[in-house]
Amino acid sequence: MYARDEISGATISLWQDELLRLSPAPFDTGPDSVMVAFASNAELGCFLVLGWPFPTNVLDPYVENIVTINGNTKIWPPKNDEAKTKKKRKGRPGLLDALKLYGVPGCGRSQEEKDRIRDMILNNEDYTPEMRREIQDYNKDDVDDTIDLTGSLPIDDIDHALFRGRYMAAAAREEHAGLPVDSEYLLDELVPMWDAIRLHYIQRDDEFHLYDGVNFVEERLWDLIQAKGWDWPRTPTGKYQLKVSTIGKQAARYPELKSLARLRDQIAELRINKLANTVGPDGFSRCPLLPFWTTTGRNQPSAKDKMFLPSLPTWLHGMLKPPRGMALVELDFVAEEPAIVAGLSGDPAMIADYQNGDVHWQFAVRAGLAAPDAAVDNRIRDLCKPVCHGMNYGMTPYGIAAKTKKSLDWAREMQARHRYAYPVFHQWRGDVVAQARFDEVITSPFGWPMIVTADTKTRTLMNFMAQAGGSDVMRLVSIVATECGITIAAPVHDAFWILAPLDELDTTIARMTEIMTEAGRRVTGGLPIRVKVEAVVRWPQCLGDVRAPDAKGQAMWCEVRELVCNGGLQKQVSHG
Amino acid sequence: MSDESAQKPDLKVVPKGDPADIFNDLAALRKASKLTVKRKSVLVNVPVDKPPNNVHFRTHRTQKLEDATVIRDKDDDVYFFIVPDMRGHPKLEPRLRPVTIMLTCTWPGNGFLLWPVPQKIDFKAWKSEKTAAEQAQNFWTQMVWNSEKNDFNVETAEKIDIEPTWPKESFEELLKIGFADHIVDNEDHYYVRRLRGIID
Repeated sequence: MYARDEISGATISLWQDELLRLSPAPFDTGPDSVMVAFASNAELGCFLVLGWPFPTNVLDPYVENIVTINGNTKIWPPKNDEAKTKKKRKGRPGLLDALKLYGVPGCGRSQEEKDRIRDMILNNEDYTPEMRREIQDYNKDDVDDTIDLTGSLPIDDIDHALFRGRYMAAAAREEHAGLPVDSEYLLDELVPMWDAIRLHYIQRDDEFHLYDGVNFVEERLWDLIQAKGWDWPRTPTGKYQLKVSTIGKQAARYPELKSLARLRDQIAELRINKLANTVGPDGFSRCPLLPFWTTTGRNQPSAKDKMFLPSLPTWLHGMLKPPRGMALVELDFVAEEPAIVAGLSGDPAMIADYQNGDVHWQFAVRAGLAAPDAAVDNRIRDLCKPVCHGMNYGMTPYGIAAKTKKSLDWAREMQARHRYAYPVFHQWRGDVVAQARFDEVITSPFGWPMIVTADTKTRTLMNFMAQAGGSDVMRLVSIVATECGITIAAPVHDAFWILAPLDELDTTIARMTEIMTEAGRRVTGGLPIRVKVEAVVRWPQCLGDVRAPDAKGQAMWCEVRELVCNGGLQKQVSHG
Repeated sequence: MSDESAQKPDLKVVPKGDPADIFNDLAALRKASKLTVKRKSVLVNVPVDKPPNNVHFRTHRTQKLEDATVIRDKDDDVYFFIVPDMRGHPKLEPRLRPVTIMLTCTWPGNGFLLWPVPQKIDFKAWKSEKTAAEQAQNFWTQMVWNSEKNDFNVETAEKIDIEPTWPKESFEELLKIGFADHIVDNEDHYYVRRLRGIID
């Protein structure tokens, strides 16, 4: 570790053995100081491992740099770099990228040099004197560069900057906690048999014989597309797009493809090792959350060779399993986005519909598709759902028609009825877009900004408040819950997985529910967002043991488990 | 996972109290939305025509102009509104159509238009048109030309269960927008000059 006190100029350089003997941190972390660290969730993760109390104030130039460029595609990703490398730059600027954006020379290191030292640190446990010198220089350069960058950033709202730093602390706690899984099942049974499982499903579901063993043969799909005359999207180089998501969308147009889409999405193209890589010796799956990764300020958990379990097909979630004496609980916001736009727009009809129950059904009633006293008809409700969601971001009648498989006339009529049912919302949505264009920036209720340029799509602006507001809610909950001592195992879009001791389960669920509801109310400006306990898994059970038989993914979970545990699979493979 | 080796996470007792209290230090960070840009939708087009044959329509009971006169120019497919003082002009008089201009809402999509409904019922098609417009004050109606009968088929919708949403602009404003430069109020109007054989 290397640290520098910016006031006194004092520096601290310590090695692992020295750090392990220390507590608390060897510098002032009280309310009169600020800890500055680039991507501070990594540093704060070390605090947790070392058992140090967190600093009261954290300022993260990684986040503050994002604030200054978020949405400005003219600045980031850099077009020159993309032209040189022929690769699209993804994600957020690293330390050296950020220095470059501000024209700050820093210590003049190259990314390759930085990567070399980092790999050397990670790949060794004992270091030679030469290595130690290099590591110390690396740490010092990182700190010097971070300070130079911080001095260049136009941080004009320190309260919000510290709020974001506080969230980085919460994210560090969440990353540190991780999701407990049945690692024996995953590592000892599922992973070793993965290819056999894939082969089983491929042999069963590959109707068009597009696989050779477990390998997908692209040319066979090309031939199939041509033979069937399917209209198919292509890559910029003219090849057919073969992404899982493309095949999924095409399956909506060509139902013959449904089983192939399901096969690829659910199992055939899954790299289970990427999940296994996240599981530590304690049986917890940990994946970097990548806070503030999206333009709306949401996390986008992922890492090289790692996958975030909640992003994987639902059947795999069955392996979630709390440790001894604990329970794992999933709490979901109910219709979070509709609640946010209802609250922010102040549309009385939309607020009433949220308060009165299911917003999609309430719209069905307002649109005259159902009688006010009728029981919920899921067929009608499911038609209204894409209309309600789509109207948040200006979905066209063509989009609504495609989603609902209804006529264009029906879609146009539903749009008209939505405008008629919620006029205040539609006025507000238009005003928000106009204001954003005028100000050249749009900001969420809790201060997450996005720069608006001529390239910013109107739909992006229409959807911003729902998404960035949702992101605000998640940040507020993460901060308050973790600071209250609740263990958040994972934030997942509009839900949280939390861990609680079995003997404190009810009180923890009640407390988390209160926190989530209140966070929603704070963001919407008064409308509490309802919370539903979606799952409670008590040790020694796993989610697959308690999930309802008709729950999404449960049938597949049971099927695979049966195959793995009863040895039928090995028989099949050996006989095949 | 190995249950024995798993450590119990370090959990503190969750503090009790009003859930709102714990957000107090964050409350000041909320930025109330400041919508200072005054946005106003400006209506720039109001079609003047009879309703298309693929929609259903309703007519407004009161927002209408009776005893109006229009001329339909078939070449450009536009209606000219002829002010009362110009009705006697020799170039206009033989072409005049006495109409009631009715505000009409179309389904689907809640569009609207100004419909010059014939006042005379000399032809059966005009009579049908007038009947359809009157019926549409209460029912969603559709009007389709039947070339065999040389008349309109007038039908009501089977199941449209909403009422029309009428525009917020006054009927006078809608007339001004709908006819715009097609209001013939003097003999130097370009349409009259054309009829007079004057090339500009």
